[in-house]
Amino acid sequence: MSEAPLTGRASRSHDLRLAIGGWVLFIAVETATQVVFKYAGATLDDRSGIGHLVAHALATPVVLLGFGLYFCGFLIWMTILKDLDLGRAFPMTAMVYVSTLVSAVLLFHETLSLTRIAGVTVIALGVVLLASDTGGPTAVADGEA
Amino acid sequence: MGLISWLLFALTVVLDVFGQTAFKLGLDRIAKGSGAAFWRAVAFSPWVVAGFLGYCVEAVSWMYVLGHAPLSIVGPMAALSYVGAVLTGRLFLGERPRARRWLGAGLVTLGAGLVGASLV
Repeated sequence: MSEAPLTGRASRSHDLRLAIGGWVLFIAVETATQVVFKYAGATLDDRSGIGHLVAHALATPVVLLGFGLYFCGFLIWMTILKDLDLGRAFPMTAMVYVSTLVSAVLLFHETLSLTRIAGVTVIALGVVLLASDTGGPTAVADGEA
Repeated sequence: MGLISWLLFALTVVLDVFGQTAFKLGLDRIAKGSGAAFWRAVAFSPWVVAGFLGYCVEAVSWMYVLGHAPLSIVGPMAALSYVGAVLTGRLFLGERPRARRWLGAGLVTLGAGLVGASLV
């Protein structure tokens, strides 16, 4: 990694590339986490109580893979969140909901009713509105350092 | 999807909002930087550690919920944590959401209600 000072336009486009790369990586890891968790949750036997469930979970590879992915998602999220307002950073994860829905249909053969599709559409709309609120004193204060 | 699943779903959302808020509180107190110094500061930040412990409980709870509910129901409904994040941002982080962000939070809530209703 070069430590040469990046200034002006170069620095900004470099930051933007990093931000987009981080975002894509985050979406991919989060989607994989949900899918692995769904597989894991389906394989676990919870009839003998929560203690047994946890013990069983820690001995099941697919569960450990899920936790590993979860932890990777956490690390990526930390690097994204350190530069952004929470109210703005959080909605950027909206794409996870679309990719999760597609995974549910393709991998778990869940069927989508009209109400469910309408609901997800309204959620997505709400998230877009949330994400597009870039104003406010706080955002200005920490946006342009 | 039984009562326990719904309760654990609610717990998952609450812990997610708590975790996000705690991470942000912690990160706001850490000098902007990168590399080993940044990650050391992250590992020793009480807020980040608290959020992370919440995440661990959340992961187990979420796994139970996913094992008992359709992914296409609880996945989208987990967006309710956005609403919680707007609220805690306003209450604890000094953020000043404008009308648009509140409207978005309202729509997410409405959509989550619709998705939940599609189960019955």
